[in-house]
Amino acid sequence: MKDGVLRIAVVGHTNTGKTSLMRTLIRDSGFGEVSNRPATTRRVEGAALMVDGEPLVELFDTPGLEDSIGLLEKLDRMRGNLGLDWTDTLRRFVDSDEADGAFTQEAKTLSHLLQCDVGLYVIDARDRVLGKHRDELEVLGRTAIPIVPVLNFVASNFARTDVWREQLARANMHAVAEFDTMVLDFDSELRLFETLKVLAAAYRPTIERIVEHVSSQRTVRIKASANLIADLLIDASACTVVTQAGADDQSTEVLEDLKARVRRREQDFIAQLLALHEFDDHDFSHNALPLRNGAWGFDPFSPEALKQFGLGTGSAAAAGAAAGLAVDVLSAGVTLGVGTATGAVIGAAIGAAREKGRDVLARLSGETQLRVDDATLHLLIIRNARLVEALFRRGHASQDPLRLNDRTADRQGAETWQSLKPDIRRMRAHPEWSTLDGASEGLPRSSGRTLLRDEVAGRISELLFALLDHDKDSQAGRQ
Amino acid sequence: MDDFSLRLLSEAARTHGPSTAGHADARTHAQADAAARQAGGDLEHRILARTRARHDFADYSEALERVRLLFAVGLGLLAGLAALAGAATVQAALAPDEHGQLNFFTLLFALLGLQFLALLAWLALFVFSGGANGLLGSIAREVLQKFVLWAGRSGIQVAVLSATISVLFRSALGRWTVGVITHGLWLAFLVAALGLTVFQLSTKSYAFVWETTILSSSFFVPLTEFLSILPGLLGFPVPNVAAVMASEATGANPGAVAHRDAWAGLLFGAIAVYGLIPRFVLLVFCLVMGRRARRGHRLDTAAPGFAELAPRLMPHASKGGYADAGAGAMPAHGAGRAAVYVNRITANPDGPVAVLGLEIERPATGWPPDIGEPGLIDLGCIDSGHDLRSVLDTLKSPQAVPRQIIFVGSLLTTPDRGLRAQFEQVLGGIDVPATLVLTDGGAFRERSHASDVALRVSDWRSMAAEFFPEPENIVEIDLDHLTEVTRARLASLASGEGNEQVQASGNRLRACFDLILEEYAVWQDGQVEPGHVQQAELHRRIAQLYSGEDDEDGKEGGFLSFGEKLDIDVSSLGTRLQAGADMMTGILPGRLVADPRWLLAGALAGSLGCIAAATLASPMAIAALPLWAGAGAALSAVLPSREGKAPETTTAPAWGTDAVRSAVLFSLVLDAQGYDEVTITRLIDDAIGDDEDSGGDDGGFATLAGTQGWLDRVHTRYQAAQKREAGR
Repeated sequence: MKDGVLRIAVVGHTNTGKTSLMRTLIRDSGFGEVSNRPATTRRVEGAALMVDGEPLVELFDTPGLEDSIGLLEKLDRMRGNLGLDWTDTLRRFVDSDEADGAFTQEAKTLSHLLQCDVGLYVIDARDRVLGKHRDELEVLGRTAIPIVPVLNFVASNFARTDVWREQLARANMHAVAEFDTMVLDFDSELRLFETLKVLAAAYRPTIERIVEHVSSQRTVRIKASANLIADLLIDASACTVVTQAGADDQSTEVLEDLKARVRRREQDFIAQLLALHEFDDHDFSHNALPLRNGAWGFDPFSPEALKQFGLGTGSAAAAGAAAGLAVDVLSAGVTLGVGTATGAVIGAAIGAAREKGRDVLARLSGETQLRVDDATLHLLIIRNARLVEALFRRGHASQDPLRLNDRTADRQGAETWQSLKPDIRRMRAHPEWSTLDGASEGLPRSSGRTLLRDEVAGRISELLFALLDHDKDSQAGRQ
Repeated sequence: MDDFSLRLLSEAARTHGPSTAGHADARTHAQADAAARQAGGDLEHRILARTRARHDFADYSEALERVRLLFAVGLGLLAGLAALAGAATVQAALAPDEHGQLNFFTLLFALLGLQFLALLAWLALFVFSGGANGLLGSIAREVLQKFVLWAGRSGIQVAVLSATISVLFRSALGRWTVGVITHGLWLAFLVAALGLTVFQLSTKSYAFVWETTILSSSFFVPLTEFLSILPGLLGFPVPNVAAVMASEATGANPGAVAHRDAWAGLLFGAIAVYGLIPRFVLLVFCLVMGRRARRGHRLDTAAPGFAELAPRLMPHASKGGYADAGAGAMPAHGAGRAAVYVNRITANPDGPVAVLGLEIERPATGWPPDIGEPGLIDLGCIDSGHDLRSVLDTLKSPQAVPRQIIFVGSLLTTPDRGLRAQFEQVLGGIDVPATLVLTDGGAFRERSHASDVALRVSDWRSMAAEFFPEPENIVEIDLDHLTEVTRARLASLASGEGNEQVQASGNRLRACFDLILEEYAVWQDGQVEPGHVQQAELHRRIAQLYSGEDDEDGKEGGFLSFGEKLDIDVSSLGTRLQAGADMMTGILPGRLVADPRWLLAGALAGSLGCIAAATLASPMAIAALPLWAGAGAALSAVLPSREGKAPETTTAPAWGTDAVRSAVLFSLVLDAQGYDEVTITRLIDDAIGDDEDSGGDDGGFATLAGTQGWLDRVHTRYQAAQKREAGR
């Protein structure tokens, strides 16, 4: 233990996902090069996990082992000739000329492993257990460096996790980690670090700091995602446009304009969310998200989009012309009483009263107020919450796409929606909270909006936590 | 600049930034990001550093100065108004009657009543609701916002103002800000009032009296005594009982004049004790608390706009670069394998065929594969160094010299140097014609993307190229799912002949096309667009033509082999259909993918083929399938929309043209089983041509005759292409 920095070598057969494991651990999809081909990584490349700017763990991506049968033969011969123990034989080997010949890649890997505190042996759990794997474990075992086998692709339907575990146990490897690099599964990441704690006990405090950091980062990200959804929701709910009664041409035009603004707003939201999750454009190539070219396939106002998440179009559709939009006409002032709920403070009551006055005046002068209807708002919440879920389970889709019509998720979404309904009514009473009315772009929103956003975001992050935990439960059920 | 101002500006940049950041800013943003990373510390610290390093930081701080100035001006104006109000109140209240007498209690109430009630309300709300804005404070805030908004101009100014208001008037900090404004304004009111009162009393002669209609002196005496307690303690002269009794208003009252010093003392004392002093104390209190709250103010780093910065400003990891000297050359072929084969075994032309598996699993159709040869040497499968050595030993024995050796490799395995070493060792010692069969295509396709398959095949080809110089000596045959065609191909590998297969397949394709034409005639006749059920039924019948008759399972060929049995549940159906569609569109030539009609046909063929494969297992009408209800919807979801659809060139409505295209593709793909993917793509490309809607003498694709003509042309072209492939 030199400076408290844990040094980890990522080793394994070629094309098992070593670089992918690195990418997942360091959250950088631009690290190294990944392909479904042999010998993609030819050089040892390092990266450090940082906590508050301080490197705590150094990881080294190594070229894949390919010819372990030949390597083992070679080492056996060398040891026979030299009469050394295994570790010294290996050290001799990586310094020898032989290492420049047929086994350049293997020698590089071994020489870096010898300088590290622990090795992660990456296994494609879909592969059959072959002699070459046993030979690799044999060679790695002789380095006298603790090795943690990491089963990659365990989320795949073709994974042979049990077979591998049994085989590894036979090779005396019991501390096995399951970590699917295609699925950003928080719990398996924690378990991987737990396993490391056992095998690199001297670095326990270091690893604990990393674990704490990773957990808090996740929480922050969930909350930040919830904030984005809450902002979107307020903008969409509060947005109100007014038309004169009877002017039908104008209504259609205004309505289309409103829809277009909401559509654009959701698009901006997606862009922000992807930036938050460091999702690059090229990540789309693997259908990892339920998006096409960075956008939801269906317009938020289309019945198909609602159907996707098990939502009925309800009464709004019955209204016909305004599919997806409720026309809020003067009807016994359903939304009139809302502002008063805030009126504990005399000062605040002034604002609310003035607001009400405007509303009533608008109604009396024959204006019709158009707002985004319940079904669409519900859809905006649930589908974007599911998008966040997909981002946390990034990459999963290439094996097992996120099922959008998931009953449990829909139910959780519906519960959240119900609990948000009073807040939605408050938003609707405050058209000035929406940033969608082009005129007041950039104007300060009232503190009421901020407070409400925090409240709504809290409830949405509960939904997000539920969705992510539900995912964990269902995975546990599958195993 | 202090941290609080920097936080305000960061908040402003947060709300202002995203909407205005263009691509031109990317470089300057990168510089700011770098400065922030350099600054270190926690995320907030870095965000502040980033704000400071912004290229437009000067604009921001200037805007903040201006906003501050505007606030100061606004507050000054308000304070002036409050002072004026105070003076006006005094002016109105100091109006003596004709005897030069002033009603003391009316005057006191006019000066202090409203203020004192507001103070009590503020205190009550402060204690009971945990924070009070105060009436005056709330009004002042509204007015200030309006004023500064009105005066603010540029986008940055508005953003800074917006941030200032949201920070200053929000939650913990907000109550102190509003408190300072409330008490400050009242203080201005009271100071002005006191000042003018002092001035008036100094320069004019007043007598203070009290009067009543329904009360008596027994009320005013204790009231005066009560009001006098605090001012008296502070040393103000206060009226005693006799003075109060003497000051009742009864016309011109000389007694009142005698006691006016005491009454004036009480007036000043009351203004100080019930107005000035509490307001001043509260002002200082709010200022101190506000200052503390400012120091304690932190950015909400989870807020939209900040959270996105986290990955850039505080990277989870830093790349360490390469830790070795260089990539180095890949090991030279044969390096390290010093074995020199002095006695190479040469092929025995009358010998048997040897079969050797490399790191493969026993195929579903059994091992060794049936190559139609009775005497075959089973060399087993190489799995370890030990296996390899025993295979090498077997090959050295004279009675086992084969006339040909067939290697079986798995597409599931990544072709690596270990495998190459195995080829090297086996083929280095013998001089025997060798063929490589790549199996597990179905399994690999199931778990990979269509594009990966072609890549894997080509990786195998390039790895093994030096051992199998003739491309036709590497073939892709899925031993798990043998069809009649692939069986024939396998047998022809051993026998070295194989051209009658083209003829056989030609007949079957003919039968498929007849089937398609028959259905097409029905649709045209009824003038209906065929539904998914009819189309799936057609696909099933086509698949049936290709499923090997001797195959008890009734399983159809390797390519679409993922529809095992009927246990597809509805929930995974969409996924399956999508996989089928992706697979099929994946092998279409680019020319056809670009054409929405063919893209649709490909997706349709892939997903319907998936259903067809499922139903082959137990022959029943597709429409009766329990999963069909779900399948219809799932299909619609899978199919690409036909936006940008090319206009049909024919005037007559063409019913079922999508269905025909899809069925033709499906037939072609089934027929091309046994070729590798690249070849299948090439065959389809050659066969489809681009003449389906070119009209022509027979009316084009929209009429029965035209379709028949087109199908004939496709058939001819396909056979020609197949012959070409055989000759390659």
